[in-house]
Amino acid sequence: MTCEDVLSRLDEYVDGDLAEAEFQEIELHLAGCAHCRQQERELRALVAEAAALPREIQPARDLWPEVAARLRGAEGARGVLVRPAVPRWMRTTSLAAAAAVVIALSAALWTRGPGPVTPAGPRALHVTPVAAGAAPADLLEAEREYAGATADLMAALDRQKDALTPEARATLDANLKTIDDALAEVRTALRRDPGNAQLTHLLTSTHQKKIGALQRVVRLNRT
Amino acid sequence: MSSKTVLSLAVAALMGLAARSAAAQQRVEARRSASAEALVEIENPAGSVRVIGWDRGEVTVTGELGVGASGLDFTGSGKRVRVGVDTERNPHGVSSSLEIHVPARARLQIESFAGSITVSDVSGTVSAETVNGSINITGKAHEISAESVNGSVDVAGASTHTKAESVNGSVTVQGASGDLEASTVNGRLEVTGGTFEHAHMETVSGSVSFEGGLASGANLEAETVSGSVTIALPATVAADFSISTFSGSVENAFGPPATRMGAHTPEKELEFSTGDGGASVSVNTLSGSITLRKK
Repeated sequence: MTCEDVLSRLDEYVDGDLAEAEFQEIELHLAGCAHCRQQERELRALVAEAAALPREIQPARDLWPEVAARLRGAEGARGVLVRPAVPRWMRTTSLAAAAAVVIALSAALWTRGPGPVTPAGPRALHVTPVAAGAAPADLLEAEREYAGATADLMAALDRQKDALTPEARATLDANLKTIDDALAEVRTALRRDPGNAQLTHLLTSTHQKKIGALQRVVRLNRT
Repeated sequence: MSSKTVLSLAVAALMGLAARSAAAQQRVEARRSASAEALVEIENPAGSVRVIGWDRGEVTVTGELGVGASGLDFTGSGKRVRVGVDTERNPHGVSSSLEIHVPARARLQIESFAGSITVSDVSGTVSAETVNGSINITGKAHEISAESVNGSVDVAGASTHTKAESVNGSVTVQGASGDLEASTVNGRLEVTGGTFEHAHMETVSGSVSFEGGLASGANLEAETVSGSVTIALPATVAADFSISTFSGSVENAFGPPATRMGAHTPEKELEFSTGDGGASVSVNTLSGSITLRKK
């Protein structure tokens, strides 16, 4: 996918109106293209400013418990058998853990713009209310958050002086691709079995690994 | 010759000396006193760090600073000692080789970027991080945190709190017990140890292998996307098992076979208990095979 392709779909990408496959293609492109990431950030900033108008009620930052509740509610509403045997650790940690990750990201991200890399405050977020039964949109929203956080971390890495050697960067990119491929696998499975709690957990924990790896590189790059 | 001219020449000479010292490798050898449980902070951007515990109340540093290093940053004493490498240019390109002796019960914090880290004979706590390099920790450290991005992580010892993570490398933990967090993306993850109270293991495409015992009420979790998972437990283990894979296979030496959950997906789940139960074993994969075997 070229920069022109990405920029022509950026509005839909930021609005969450893309099909998953296309979303994934754009996410991959953004991870490796500073110019398009800049365009995406500017568009997100614009959207965030619009979302901050008084008519909006800013929801709690903890998105995932609500997502989880809607997922469960949607399953019940559709007459889908709610899994009787979700493991204890899944009940207590899966989606809630994803929420914790998203929350943690806001504290771990870095300031934008030139100059030294310094800790920043939480990213402004806008969570669009979701109708019951719209679980895929909830997932897409969470994926957008992860993609935004990934782009921010990649941009932070790009901004750091004495950044990675070409070889180290290639290794990092190869590993990020491994994770992206895994994410694609999980998404494919989720399309076959929407609302599967285990798959949802795998999706978020795999995102978490990607963010964790990037955070470590950004932090140690300052050693 | 005026005094101003003399001063200028002296400054120029000193700068020249400094430039020459930064342009060549420098041999270093230094020591500072330290308490038995001192916090020893070590930063070496690139090259290697080898830390060895000993029974003396001092920290010694020997080795060579790389081209581009301007000096050894060796400060503190008593409860806190710092070892670092000062550089005049991109620190990640300054490859220094340091051997550091520390009091055996010291608390170590080691950071590198493109360097390998080796620790032995330390019984205190060890925290080691690098981006591009391997980490190898042996000895009796009771608390270990070892994280690499592009390198293997090997931990062998009797630690009771262990965190071992890599992204592009294998992770091996031997002899640990108690609490364990271990993960990698596409490397192999292998754990052999004693009795665990909590063990959490994750990979994306790498395989997971666990062999150990579970304390009463313990919690063992393993998760991969496409990597296989093998869990070997004592034949007499008392645990509640919860196994799930979307498209992988399940082999179970402890109880019933896995069953498909629906007609439209290949997902398999398996729940059963052995003995009186109590401990919890949870395994979740997308396409990785799962094997439960008796050790």
